[in-house]
Amino acid sequence: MKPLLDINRLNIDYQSNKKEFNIIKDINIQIDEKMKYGIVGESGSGKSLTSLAILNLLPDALKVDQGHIKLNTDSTKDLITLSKKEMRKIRGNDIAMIFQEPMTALDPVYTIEYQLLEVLKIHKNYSKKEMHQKGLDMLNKVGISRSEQIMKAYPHELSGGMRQRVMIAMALICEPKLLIADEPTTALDVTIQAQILDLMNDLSESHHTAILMITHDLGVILETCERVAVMYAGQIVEESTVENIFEEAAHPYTKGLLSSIQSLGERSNELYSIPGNVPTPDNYQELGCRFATRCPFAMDKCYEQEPPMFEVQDDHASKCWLHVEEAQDDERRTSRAGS
Amino acid sequence: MYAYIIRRLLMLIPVLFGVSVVIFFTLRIIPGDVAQTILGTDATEDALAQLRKDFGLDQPVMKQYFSWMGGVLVGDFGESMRTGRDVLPDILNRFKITFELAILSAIISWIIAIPLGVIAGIKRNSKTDFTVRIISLLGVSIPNFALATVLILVLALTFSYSPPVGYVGFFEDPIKNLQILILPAIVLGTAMAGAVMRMTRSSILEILRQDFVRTIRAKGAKERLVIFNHALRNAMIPILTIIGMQIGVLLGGTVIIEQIFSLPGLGQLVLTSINQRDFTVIQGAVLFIAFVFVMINLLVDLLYSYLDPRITYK
Amino acid sequence: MKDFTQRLIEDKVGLIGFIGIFIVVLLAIFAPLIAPYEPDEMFTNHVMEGPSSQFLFGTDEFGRDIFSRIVYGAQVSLQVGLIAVSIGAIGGLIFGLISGYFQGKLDQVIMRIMDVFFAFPDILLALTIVAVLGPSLTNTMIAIGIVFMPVFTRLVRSAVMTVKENEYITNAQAIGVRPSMIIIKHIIPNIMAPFIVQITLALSGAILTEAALSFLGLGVQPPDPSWGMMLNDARAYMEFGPWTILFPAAAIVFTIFCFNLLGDSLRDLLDPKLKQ
Repeated sequence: MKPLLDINRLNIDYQSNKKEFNIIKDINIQIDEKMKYGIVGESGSGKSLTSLAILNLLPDALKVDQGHIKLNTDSTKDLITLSKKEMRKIRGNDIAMIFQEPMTALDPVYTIEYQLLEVLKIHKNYSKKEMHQKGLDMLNKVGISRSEQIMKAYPHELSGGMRQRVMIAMALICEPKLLIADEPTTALDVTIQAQILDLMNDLSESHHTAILMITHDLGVILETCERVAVMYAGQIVEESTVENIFEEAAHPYTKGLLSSIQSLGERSNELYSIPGNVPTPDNYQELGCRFATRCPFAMDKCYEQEPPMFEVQDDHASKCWLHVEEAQDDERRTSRAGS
Repeated sequence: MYAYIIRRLLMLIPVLFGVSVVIFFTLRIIPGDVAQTILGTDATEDALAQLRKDFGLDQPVMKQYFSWMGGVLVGDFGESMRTGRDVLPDILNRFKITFELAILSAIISWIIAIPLGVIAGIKRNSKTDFTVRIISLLGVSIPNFALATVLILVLALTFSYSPPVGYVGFFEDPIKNLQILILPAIVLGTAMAGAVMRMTRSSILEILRQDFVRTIRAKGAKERLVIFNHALRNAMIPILTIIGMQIGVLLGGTVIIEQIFSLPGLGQLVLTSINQRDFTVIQGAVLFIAFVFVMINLLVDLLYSYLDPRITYK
Repeated sequence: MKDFTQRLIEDKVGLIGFIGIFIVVLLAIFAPLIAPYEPDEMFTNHVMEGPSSQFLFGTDEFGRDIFSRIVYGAQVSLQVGLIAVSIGAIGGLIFGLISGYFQGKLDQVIMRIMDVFFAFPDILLALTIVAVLGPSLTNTMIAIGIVFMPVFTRLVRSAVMTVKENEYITNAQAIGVRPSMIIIKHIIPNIMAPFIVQITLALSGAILTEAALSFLGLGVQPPDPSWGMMLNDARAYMEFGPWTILFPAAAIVFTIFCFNLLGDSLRDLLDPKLKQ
C-alpha cells in the first residue's frame, strides 16, 4: 500500500538577490494512513519549514529546489507541482494544520463561529444550519462544553488552552486525512499540554486522521507518536520507530538529545547539553557532516564527506560515519575469524 | 454601550465650555475699541455708543459672556456686527456646503488611498510599492492650496478653465452642484490621501506578517479572501485612527479651499468675518466647527468598538 | 550616536531629506550672497518676464526677481518654523513634564485645557489667534507655536509616564533624589527619541501652516517675502506667467517633502517598536 504522504528527497533553498544557500536537504519521510509521525529537533533545525513546505506555505524567500511531496488519497498528487487552485483544495480539507501560538493564530476581529465555519464554507456545501450544527458538534468533540456561548465569543475572550482546542476543532472539521501540528503545546501551561495531547490522540483515532507532530520536545513524541525523524541543521539524522529511537538511539546527536532529557529526569547535578549551537543555514558545512563541529566523536572523515543514511538495524537508519566504520570493523573481524 | 455614549457626550460638555471660554475671551483681549474697529475712525460718538449698546459691549465682560452663552444654549448665536443678520441660520446654511465638500473629499481620498495602500502592502518592495510610497509622501507634502493653485493653472492653460462662479445646491441641480464641487473635492481628497495611503500600506504589511494570516491560508482560503476579509478588515482599525486625525485637517482645509474656489461655505464665512473683525460671527462659527469636530471624533471612537471587538466600552 | 549617524547615512531616504534641508538652510543663511537682488527691488521695465539668465525664475507683476524672493522666503519659512516649533516644544515639554511627573489634579487641569485646544482644527486655531493678535510675522509664529503645544504636551506626558514606571526611577525616588534632578538626569534623556521625531514632523507642519496663513493674507505681511503669500499674489496673473506660481509652489513642496523624508527615516531609526 502506498503511504498517505510521501516526502521524497525534499530540498529547500533560500534565495534572495544577494545570497542563495541550501536550508533543507534530502528529506525523506513516509507517513501511512492513521499513522502518528513525529519530527523532532532544536529550533532552527528546519522541522517547521518542512511542514510548511507540505502545504506550500513557505515564506517568499524560500523555494523548494527539488524533490516530491506525494499525497495519496483517492488519487496521487505531487504537492510541489500542484497549481495554486488545486493546492487550496488540499489545504484545510485533506491536510489541516495547527500552529504553535494559539494566542495569535486566530483573527482577533472575528467570532469563533465565523472562523470555525470559514473552512467549511471554503470546502463544503452545507446549509447555514448544517454548518452551525457541525460547528457545535466539533466544539463538543474537542471538549468545549458551553459550545453555543463559545461560538459567539471572540478569540481574546478565551484562554490559551481553549483557543488551541478551537484550532484543533477548526483543523478537524473537514475531516482531513492528515493533521500537521507544529509545536501545538509549546505555548501552553504544562497541565494543559497533556490534555491537548490526549485530545489529539483521541481525535486522530476516532477520525482516522494521521498526525505529523512537529516538536522540539522528545516527551511529546514519546506520548503521541509511532515513528519519529530526528532533524538537525536541515537534514534527517536518524529515523525509526519511537521505541527504537528511545531504546537504541544510534546517532550521536540523538543520544545527546536523549541524555539532556534523561539528566532532567534523574535530577543529576549536571544538566547535560550538547556543546555549541545549531548552525545557521549560511554556516552549514559544505562537505561532510553538518553535526561534525559539535560531535564528540568527529573524525577527519566527518569533515570531508557527507555520511550516508545507514541501516543500523531493520527499519532504523542513522546518518553517521561511526556506523559505517563499525560495520567495516565487524566485517573485518568476522572475515578474520572466518579465515 | 448607550451608557458609554451618554458618558462621552457628558464629557464633551466641559470641553465645549472650555472652547467657548477660549474663543470668547481671546476675542476680547484684542487691543483697541471693537466698535471703533467696526465702524471705522470717522464714526460719530453717537454711532459708536449705539453699536456698543446694541451688542452689549458696554456691559462687563463676564456678563457679555453669560448672555452670549445663554443665547447659544437655546440656539441663538446673536447677530452679525456687520450685517445684523442672525448668526446661526447663516452658519447652518453655509455648513451644508462645507459638509458636502468634506464628505466628497473624504470619499475621494479613501477611493484613492485604500486600494493603492493595499496593493503597495501586498507587493512590498516592488516597483508598484515604491511608486505608491513616493506618491503618498508627495501627497503628504503638497499643501492643498499649492495643489489647488497649480491644478487651476494647468487646467486654465490647457482647457481655459476658470473656477465656476456662484454656487448651486445639490437638491436644486445635482449635476451642476457636483461640477462645482468636484475639483475642490479632488484637491482636498488627494491632499488627504497621502496619509491614509501610508497608514494602509504599513498596516497591511504588519497584518500580513501575523500568525493568523497563515492559519487562514492553511484553511485553503483564496488570497482575495485573505486580503479583504481578514487583512483589510484588521487594518481598518489603524486606518480609522488616521482618518479621525485627518478630519481636523479636512475641516481646516475647507477654509482655504473654499477661499480659492469661491465657495460660500463655513470656512469662507470664518475668513470673511476674521477680515472684517465681525466677532459675533467668528465666535459662533468657530464654536460650531469645534462642536462638529468633537462630534465626529466621538463618532470615530464609537466606530472603533464596531471594528475592534477587543475594545470594550464601559 | 555614532551608530545612529552611520545608519542615517546608510538610509538613503533620510539622507536625501537631510541634504535637501541643508540646502534650504544654506539658502536662508547666505541669502544676501546668493540672491542677486533685494527681495522687494522692483524692475519696472521687466514686469512678468519669464525665466532668463538675468532673472533665473522670472519676475512677478511688480518686476521683482522671483528667485531672490524665494531665497529670502527660505529665511522667513525657516525662522517661523524654528521659532514656532520651539514655542510649541518648550511649552509642551514643560506642561508634559509637570503633567506626567506629578500627575494628580494638576495633570487633570493641564490635560483638560489641552483637550480644549485639540477641539479646534489646526488651521482654524491658528487663524483665530492671528485674528486676535493681528496678522504679522511674530504673531504667526506665536499662533503656530500654540497650535503645536498640545501635541508635544501629550507626547511628553505619555513618555514620562512610561519612563517613570522603570525601576531605576523608583529607586532614585526611594533614595530621595529631588524631582528636578530625576527629570533632568533620567527622564529627559529617555524621552528624547520620540521628541526629536515629533520636532522634525512639527517643523514641516509649521512651515506648511505659515505658508497657508500667508496664502490667506493672515500670516507674514509685505514687504517680507513668504512663499505662501507669493503663491496667493500670483493667482490673479497666473495665466500670463505660470512661473510666478510654479517656483514658489515647488519651494514649499520641496522643503516640506525633505522634512517629511527626514522625519520618516528618523522615526524608523529611533522608534524601536517600528524596527523589523
